[in-house]
Amino acid sequence: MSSRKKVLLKVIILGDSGVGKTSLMNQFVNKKFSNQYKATIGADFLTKEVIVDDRIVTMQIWDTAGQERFQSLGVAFYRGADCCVLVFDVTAPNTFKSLESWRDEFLIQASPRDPDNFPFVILGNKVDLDNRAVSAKRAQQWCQSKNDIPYFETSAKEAVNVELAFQTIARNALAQETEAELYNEFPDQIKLNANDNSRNRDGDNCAC
Amino acid sequence: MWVKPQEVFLKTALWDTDETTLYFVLQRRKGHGKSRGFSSLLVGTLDSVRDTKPAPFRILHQTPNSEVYYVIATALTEQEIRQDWQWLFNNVCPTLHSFDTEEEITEFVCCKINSVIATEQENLTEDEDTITYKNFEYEFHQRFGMPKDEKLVCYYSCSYWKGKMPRQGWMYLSVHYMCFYSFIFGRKTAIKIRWADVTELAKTNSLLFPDSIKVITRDGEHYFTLFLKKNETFALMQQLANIAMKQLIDDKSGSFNIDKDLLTKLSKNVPKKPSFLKRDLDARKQSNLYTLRFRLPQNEKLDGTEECTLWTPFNKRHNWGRLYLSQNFICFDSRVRNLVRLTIPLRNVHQVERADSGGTGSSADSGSILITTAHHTSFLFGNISDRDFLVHKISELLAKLPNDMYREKSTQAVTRLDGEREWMPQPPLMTLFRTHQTSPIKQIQQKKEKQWEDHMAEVGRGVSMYQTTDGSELVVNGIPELLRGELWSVFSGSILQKAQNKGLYERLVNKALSSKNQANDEIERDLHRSLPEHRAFQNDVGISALRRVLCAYALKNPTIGYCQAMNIVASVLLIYCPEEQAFWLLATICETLLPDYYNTRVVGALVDQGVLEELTEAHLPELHAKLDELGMMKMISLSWFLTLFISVMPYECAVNVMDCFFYDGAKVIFQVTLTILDINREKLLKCCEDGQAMQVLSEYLEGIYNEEAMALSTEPRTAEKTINIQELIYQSYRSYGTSVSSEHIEHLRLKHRLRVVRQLEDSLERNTLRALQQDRLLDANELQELLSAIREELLWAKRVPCERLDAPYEAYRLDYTQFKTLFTALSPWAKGDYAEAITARMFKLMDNDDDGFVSARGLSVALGLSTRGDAQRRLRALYCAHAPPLLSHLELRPTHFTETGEELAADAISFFDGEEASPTGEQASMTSSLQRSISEVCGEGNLLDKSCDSAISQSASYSDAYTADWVRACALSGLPSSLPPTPGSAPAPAPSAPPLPRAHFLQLLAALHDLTQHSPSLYEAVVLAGTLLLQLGELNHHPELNREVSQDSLFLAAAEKQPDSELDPNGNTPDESERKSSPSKEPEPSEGGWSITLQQFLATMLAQSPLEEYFNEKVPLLPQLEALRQRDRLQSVS
Repeated sequence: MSSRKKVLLKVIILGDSGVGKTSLMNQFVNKKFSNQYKATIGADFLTKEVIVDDRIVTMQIWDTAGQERFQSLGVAFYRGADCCVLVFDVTAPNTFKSLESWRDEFLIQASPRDPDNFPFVILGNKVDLDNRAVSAKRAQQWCQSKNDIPYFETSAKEAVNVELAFQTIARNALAQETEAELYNEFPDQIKLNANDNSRNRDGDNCAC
Repeated sequence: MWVKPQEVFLKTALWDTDETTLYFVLQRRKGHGKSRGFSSLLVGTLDSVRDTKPAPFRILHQTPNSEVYYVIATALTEQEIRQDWQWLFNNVCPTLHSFDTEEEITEFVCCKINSVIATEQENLTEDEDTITYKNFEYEFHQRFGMPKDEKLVCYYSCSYWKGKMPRQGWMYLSVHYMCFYSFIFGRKTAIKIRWADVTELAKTNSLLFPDSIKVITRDGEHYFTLFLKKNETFALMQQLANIAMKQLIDDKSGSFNIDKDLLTKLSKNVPKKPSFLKRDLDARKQSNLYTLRFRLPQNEKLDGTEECTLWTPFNKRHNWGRLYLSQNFICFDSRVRNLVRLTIPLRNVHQVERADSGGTGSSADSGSILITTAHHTSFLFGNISDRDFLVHKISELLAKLPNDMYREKSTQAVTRLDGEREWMPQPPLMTLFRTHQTSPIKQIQQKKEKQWEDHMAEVGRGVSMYQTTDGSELVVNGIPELLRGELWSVFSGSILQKAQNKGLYERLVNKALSSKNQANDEIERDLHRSLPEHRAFQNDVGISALRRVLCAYALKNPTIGYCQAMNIVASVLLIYCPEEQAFWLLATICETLLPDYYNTRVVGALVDQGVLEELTEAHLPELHAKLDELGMMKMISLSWFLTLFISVMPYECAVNVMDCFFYDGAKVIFQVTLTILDINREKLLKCCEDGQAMQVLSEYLEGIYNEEAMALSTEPRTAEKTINIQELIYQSYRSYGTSVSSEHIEHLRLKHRLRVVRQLEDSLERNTLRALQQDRLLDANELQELLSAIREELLWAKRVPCERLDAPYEAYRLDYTQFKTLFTALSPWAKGDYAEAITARMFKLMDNDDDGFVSARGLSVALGLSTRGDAQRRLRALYCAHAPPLLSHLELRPTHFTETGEELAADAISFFDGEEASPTGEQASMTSSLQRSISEVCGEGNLLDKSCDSAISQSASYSDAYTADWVRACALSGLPSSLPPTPGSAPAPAPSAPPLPRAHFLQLLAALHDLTQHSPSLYEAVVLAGTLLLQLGELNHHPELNREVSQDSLFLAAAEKQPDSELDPNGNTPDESERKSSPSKEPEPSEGGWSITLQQFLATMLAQSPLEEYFNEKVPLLPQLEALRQRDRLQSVS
């Protein structure tokens, strides 16, 4: 039915300060790594078109501030999210421990329709570094305990697994989206005729 | 209290006579106290409506043949009036018989009373509140059950809309509450609202409630009307609510200090206000406006103001305006806005002299003064109406200046001697990292520098430069880069802070760099993410300077610590200013210009988000509707405001906004924001989702350019150019320069702060509830009620929830007194004679970090365990509360030096043998140990007596083996969230409890006895189990004795009756969490020590079915909570 429609997926990246959220987003969208990012204040976002199962999907990726005092301010950005990516730094155990609270906070603030099945993806970033402190097994275990959240070990610096992870993110978000269409409970969440939102969009009119 | 004798005629109309003698009558007001009947009702109504409040007791003087009575004393309480009455008897009555005529008697009495009053008044200070006010305050405390130290600020006559009927009565405004009371023909209306609960205050004028003040709280709306001074009332209400909110933000333990300094000031032309506190608040408000206007340090207190003229030499004019005087400054602001503004720090003042006629022509006929500063600059003020007073006042202030040391020397030769320090403050980083400039840019900069040099040649340089219209035009044009540091400091007032705190920065840096804390870690992580595009921050020179500034500030202001975005702001400051100056600028931004922005809940930024929304709605209604629909308003403001646009537009453009921001304050940010939105209106209106709109704005912002900037980044700006920053700023001043004023912003901030703080409180409460529910002990309803009881308790104690720590419930911290109040009111364990001891021990059990505070969760678990846990958990909790590291050996020592622990034990044994032990002795020792436990809890260290008895040394040895954490974990084991469910955290130490030494065990038994004494069967069960356990303890004590098989089998039989407890060969009841670790972890009780293990205890106790039943019984909490609520709340009773 709607399989040939363009779809806009809103993806939120959360995680402690300095785990590499901005870098991951930039690596995925712009295919480059830089160590010259300012700390993200409030939020920032980029868009990218991907093809998932023959469908053209526009991913709108929202990068958020990581410091704890901003955690409760995310609500403005969470609205209408299709997938939530939780990032931690494999060299910093504390960032791993915070995942739980990021997840809870997100579920509370975004209050998705079906919190138990809302798609999350966990990324353990900075695997290129030597001083690893969180084992893959430990992370995996936790992800399994949380309703089998997909887990990827990534390096934004060396572009390890980034593409793959975001493909999964898009696919899972899309699955959620299709389900919503089936139920058709919240039609406003489905972006009909959503325009191409990538950076080179030519500011045209919109049907909504 | 004696009053000046006054004639009254009607002796009895409104008064009942209590006592009478030949010459004196003691009366009480009808409707007060014991008098009843219709007339007293009438008087009650009359008094509650009338403006003057007569004191309810009085003494009249009379003579038998005269119709005239004199009031000679009044009082609020019977006790007080009785005192006066007695005094009359002792001192006056005896002499009265010696007079011949009644006239002489009257004359004598009046004279006597007058002289008494006169002597008393000599001792009175001038800040005494008026008598009427005192009466009001007394009634306020009586009627609303206020704590003694709750200060009434002011009272107003008004009506309250109860349904459709207005009720005439009085509104009482106090520091923490607003109350209303009316009493009309027997129908009483009383309302009590805490400021901290107010979510909105507004003046309304609707058909339903004409010309009213609306007060919205979390529970409902209230309307008040018919105010005599509506505006004054409203302003005061706003101010008080705001103070309450500020306390919630700052967590400054809610103390409201009356500032005596403020009261002695403003000495001229101040209308007498009914209350001392009201005057204080008024003065405070004035001072705030004053410091805001002249960018002075916030603790500066306005002393007085005076209309006068200021002579401006550069245009040879006298400018009318107002002179402001405070402890450290003389300021002047012209009547015509922005014409001329001046700040003179008193410590720069060299000389103040009367400038007499002749010299200045037109001002000849009125008083002029000439103020000369240490830099040989003179300022001439004219047309001063009371020159002598002013000169006197200034010299008085000069004399009060802290110390000559702080006065600026006219010679600026402060040499730095210390070569040995490890760091040197950096000069402006742009001077170290120069960028290549094209010559046109250089020329522009030089031209601007020239303009400023010329300007400053006219108006002076530094703190006391005349700030004029010409000056503000130059600012809007953009300050030349070389002068930025200097002028930012002057305009923002940070130069004053720096001057007042010489050497502080260096000390802070030295201390901060050597300490290790969370803020420093967070700073470290962000150093390279501040202004990475600038060469200075690709280099250790810039990075180190930034580290020093941020760490020093985090140390200076712990309520802020470090907030992301400060790094970005600070890095830009460092480019243009010397390091120390940058530090003080940052401090000024954080504390004065953007108040509360960077604190741990980012309150200020949220407040300004609300302000921006309101301004957008007012100025760009169509766009506001659109942005609101997209949910955009909240997205943009955070990054724009927190970083002063630096993170969203090229920094060399943002600095131009900062030029104006330092000059004109936060209003600049709002006007620039509105302008940006306005320019992009068309595009934004076409957007259909938030991302698109964000895109529009970020493209626009990135494209802003500045063709005059020299300090370019290493990476060339590639974004498509959109607007010149100078043009943007011009436009913002043109469109919103006058309509968005600082006063207006301040006003809106006040309003939105209420809302924001309330929302934060609510979400904190929600989070706490959610966290507490995970314990699955109390149900949601009970928790809700419990939490509001906790809030209530904290507010009564004038403490507020503090900043969020690891978990939301940590925000509510109860000290022992508060814990005790709630636990005693709610828990079934705190009912008997032993209540205090149990409470203290439960407190200790729940006080995880031994800091004397228990979180909301601690209380909820303590209550949950005592009412909901199954028998095993309840008994385990009790056991653990009495286990060695928690119940320390110190607490076991009785206060009576003759008694030893053994004696106490002996006492207890006889007690449990069923004999009627003398309750007094028992009680005494209980009380003493309980006092010890309390004092222990309250942190009063007890010195350990050297002569330890065996029990003590034994428990001491256990303390080594078992940490308090283990014992606590043991008490809580079985709670789903007893260990914070962090993903894969290291396994926590196995919860385990040590065996109880005899003395501890006896305490536990005593507690159990106390809990069960209401029922004979329970009492017997405890005695039985107790005896059994004592014998068991003896066995452990003497293992060399042959174990009596009967004892063992008795024990085992008892244990088997308890189906839950599978016994392993050691007689241990395995607990899930203990099973894995107990064999290795748990040291066997030391040889020869008397002891009882947890397993033995549980098995034996649970074998007694009445006890099992008793401890399994679920006790409802809601009735107790309801009772507690009734105690505190007083809502619309009629």
